[in-house]
Amino acid sequence: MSVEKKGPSSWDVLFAGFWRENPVFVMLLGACPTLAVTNNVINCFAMGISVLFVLVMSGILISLLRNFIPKQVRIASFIVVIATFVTIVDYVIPTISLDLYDSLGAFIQLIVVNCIILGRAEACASRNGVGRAILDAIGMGVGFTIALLCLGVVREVLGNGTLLMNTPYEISLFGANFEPWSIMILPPGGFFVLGMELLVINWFRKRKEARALATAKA
Amino acid sequence: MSVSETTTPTSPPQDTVSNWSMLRTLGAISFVSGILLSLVYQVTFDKIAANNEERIRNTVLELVPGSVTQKEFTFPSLSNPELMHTVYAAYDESGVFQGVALEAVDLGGYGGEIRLLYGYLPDEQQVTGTKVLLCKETPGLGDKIKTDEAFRKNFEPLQVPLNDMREGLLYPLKMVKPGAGGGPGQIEAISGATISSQSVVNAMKQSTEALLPLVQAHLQELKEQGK
Amino acid sequence: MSTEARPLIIGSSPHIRVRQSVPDIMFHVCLALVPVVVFSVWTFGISALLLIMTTVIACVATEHVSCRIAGKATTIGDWSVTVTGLILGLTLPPATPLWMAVLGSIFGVAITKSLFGGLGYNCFNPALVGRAFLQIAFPITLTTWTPPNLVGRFASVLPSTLTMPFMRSDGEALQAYVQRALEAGGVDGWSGATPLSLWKFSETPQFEELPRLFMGSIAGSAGETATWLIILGGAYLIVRNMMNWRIPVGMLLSAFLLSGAFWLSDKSAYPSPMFMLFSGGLMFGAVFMASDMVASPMTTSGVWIYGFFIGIVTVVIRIFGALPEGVMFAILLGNAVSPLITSATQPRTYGLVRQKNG
Repeated sequence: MSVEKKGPSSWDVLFAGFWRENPVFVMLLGACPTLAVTNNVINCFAMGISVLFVLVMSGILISLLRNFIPKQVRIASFIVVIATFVTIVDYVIPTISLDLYDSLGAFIQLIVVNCIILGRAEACASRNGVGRAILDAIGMGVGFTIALLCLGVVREVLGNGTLLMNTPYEISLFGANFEPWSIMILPPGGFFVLGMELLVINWFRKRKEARALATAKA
Repeated sequence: MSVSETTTPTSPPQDTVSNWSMLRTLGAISFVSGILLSLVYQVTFDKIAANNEERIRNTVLELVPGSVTQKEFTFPSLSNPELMHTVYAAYDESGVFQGVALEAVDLGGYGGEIRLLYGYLPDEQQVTGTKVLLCKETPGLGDKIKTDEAFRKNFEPLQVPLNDMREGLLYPLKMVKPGAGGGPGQIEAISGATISSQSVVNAMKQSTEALLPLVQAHLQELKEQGK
Repeated sequence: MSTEARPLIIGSSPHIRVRQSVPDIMFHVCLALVPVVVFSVWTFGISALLLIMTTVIACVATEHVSCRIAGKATTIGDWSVTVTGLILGLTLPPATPLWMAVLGSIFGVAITKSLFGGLGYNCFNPALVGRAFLQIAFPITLTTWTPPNLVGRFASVLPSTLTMPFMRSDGEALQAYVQRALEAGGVDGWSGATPLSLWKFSETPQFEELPRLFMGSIAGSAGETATWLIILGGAYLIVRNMMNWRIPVGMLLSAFLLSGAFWLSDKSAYPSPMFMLFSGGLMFGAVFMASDMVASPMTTSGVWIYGFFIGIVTVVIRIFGALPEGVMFAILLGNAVSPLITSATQPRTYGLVRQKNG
């Protein structure tokens, strides 16, 4: 991410977060909401969009203010900015749906301490112009949402036999006689699914690296 | 951070920055964020309150058949005048009293608190049904208290006549094994979810014992208020 | 730990030759389990046979496939995964659908054992993790019991056994089947519970008679009911010096003492210590699961602590917990703390003076 020296294109900045530097699967940040709210797809969407919003808004503000914030108080300033936008999200979600707000529980407020946001503020927004900060925030936010959905789809399909439960668009995949795996909806399911997905992703990465090494030698 | 950073911050050297400038920055940011938050709070407050009210109203109207409006009352408890109880009274379009919805809470569920509303028709002395408001029970097992047909049928309807003293139930609610019920006041548990079922029965038992005599005592008032 | 030709090893004394090898021990554990399996099939019929065969085949197949994926030589020949399969099958209720048995086998062996590096590297007992996974995933199915010695248990399988994969097992059909079989045998009532849940969830605690508990004519998991055969199997392994006798003895002793204290305080509410020992999976867990060599501590004093710990946790879960049975979680907890126990009970090196803090 040494943006200014190597000067990657804007597209690179945007897409890095989607997969190559995915905050959950590669950097292993934000594991708390990743494990806690991914037991159904709609929660993943709501959490992902909330984080995306906070990332983009705080990224813009911090990038604009980057030359005015003394280095000694930058973390405090970032946290105040982030907390402001998190509180805004916390006010807005119950106006959309109280049920959604209830199912996300304390994890909306806990976005404040999500390391993805503080991490991007420190690593990108405070060192780059607004345009680049926005692209980076969108990339990371979308990457986070993608990761949540990767967990949420598996957990909801196995744990409830549906997709998009608690919404009008609920799809039942296996019919009425499906035996739900309760463990997938419970916290252990989050650990198992995240672990298995990390296993698969790292396995493929290692294999790719080994192949690249083999072709480089040959 | 697993992302290595090689660039230095683009901000000017600040080694000699004064306390005043730090305070000023933090103060300014906090001030702006305070203003922003109070604005958002103002804008969203009404909508959130309306959503909350709508949720309760929908539940009340669902629980009391034939009702289209509801009104909230608070009465002091019969046994302890300090303690206030909320009663949601439901009326039809011409303001005729239909029944009430009452709250029941128990902390002894498998996942802690269970909170529900139930409909009560004072004239027929029966519970019309329950609606779980808050439930942290195990998905697929304890949270069947929300969905299990047989369990819900226990309360749809449930005869809850008061005793002769009009200060408690003639047949206090009691949980029995699945398939063993049928007697007055008996609630059949969900097989495999005994603790959650017991918690619901405890909540209902406690609430009916305390609130039904209270509703009966204030019945006249509730009926007149609808006009 | 392998059967391959041994290289010449030069080391300092003492030189003790151990004739036992891992495959040897594991084979004898299988032998000790054979009477339990036979009894289980005798009491619960063809469904129990199918269940145990399924878990063994699924465990062995999972081990083989994961060794292949990891690029290692297959280790199915060392009998350890066969033991895992047998134990998993024996700890499941006889009416468990076979697809769930397969799932539990894959989960237990692949995740608990192969991912950690195979035999010797697993910190938990694979069979128990597989069972715990199933217990949490399918809590109702895993607490659905069938009565022992049903009429016609060899002629037909229980209706839930052959449930289609991912589908719910039909509880009503199972109940109807059990009812028919009971009537054919001239019995009218059956509460659908194990002695432990009868004690825990009845309005007035009911205590099963000890002889029936001991001989195994009760409901329960496929292999946990025949206490006498389990004790025989354990004695066989102890005599052959293939099991650390301190683990089951410590576990049973602490469970006996703690439940005895409760029993003396209120004989109408708490079951007698003998009931505690002979009911549920305590005996099976003590003999065949807690004594798992890999997941238990390595020092003699540590082994005693480990056994006592599991026994106490079991009784505490049974008496105060939400579940009637706690052996499985108690042993898993014991597995989790056993590395700590090992390091806390290291023997002092001869001649070394322990330094004071500071």
